[in-house]
Amino acid sequence: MKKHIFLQLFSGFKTGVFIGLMFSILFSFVYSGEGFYPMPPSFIEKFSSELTAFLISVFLWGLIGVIFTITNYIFTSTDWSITKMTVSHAIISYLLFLPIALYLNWINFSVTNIFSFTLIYIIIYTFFWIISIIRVKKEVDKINKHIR
Amino acid sequence: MRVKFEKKKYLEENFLVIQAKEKTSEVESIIKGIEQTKTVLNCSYKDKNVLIPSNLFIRFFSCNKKIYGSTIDSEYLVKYRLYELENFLQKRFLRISNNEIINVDYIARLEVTNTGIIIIYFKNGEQTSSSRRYLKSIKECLL
Repeated sequence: MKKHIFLQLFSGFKTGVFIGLMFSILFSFVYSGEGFYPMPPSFIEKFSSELTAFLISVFLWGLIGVIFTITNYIFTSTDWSITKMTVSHAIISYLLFLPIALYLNWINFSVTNIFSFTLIYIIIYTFFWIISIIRVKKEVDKINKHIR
Repeated sequence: MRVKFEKKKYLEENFLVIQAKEKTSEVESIIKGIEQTKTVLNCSYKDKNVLIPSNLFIRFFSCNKKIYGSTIDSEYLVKYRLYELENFLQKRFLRISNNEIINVDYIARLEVTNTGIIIIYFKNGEQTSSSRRYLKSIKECLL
């Protein structure tokens, strides 16, 4: 069981690094079109060398993957209502993800930036909640029809 | 395959005999199925030990570290843990939360609350709740 959890966390780390890499390539195309810029210049400035900055960056991509692997247990291992699952997942992920996103300079520290990030975050989770409820209601309708 | 039932009143305990030309995989799986399936459960009712056929049970639930099983008209103290029941009961019994197993044959209907909890109504009027992650197994068992 312990080994199983460790493997899942490691797999989350790998997924995080993979997604981070894909996004860094995507953003390099968007912002430059020629060079590879895996992180914002403002982030690189925090370190003595670009290599250190990149290493820290990759580690944090992995850490984000681990965070979402752990918070996913809310959906797979609790008996909570969909609302409680979604809200607790949103809050815990937000509190862990936001500081990393700020540190990585994905979001530059300002009230408007954090506000718009939060707004998008809430919209995504609301959308997710609505879809989950609709899907469960459909499944339940199907089962009820069959019982009758 | 033909099945024949013979009543033997002198038996102290039920004894099944299977006759076959050869022990094929089909026969073996039948034997395994019989051995693993508990059709009668050891329970206690008002401090008396009783044997109750498992298919009479609507649900099993834990409460204060004890396991109870309810039938249409009574409630029994069951002498097994939930995970044991889950293992040796027929496929019609499903886990629907950390502390409950139900018999899908007694489900009258399901309902989703506004917050996304699944309420299960039974044919005897009882009700209980489950969460989204068990819905798939309920569906697979019923459809």
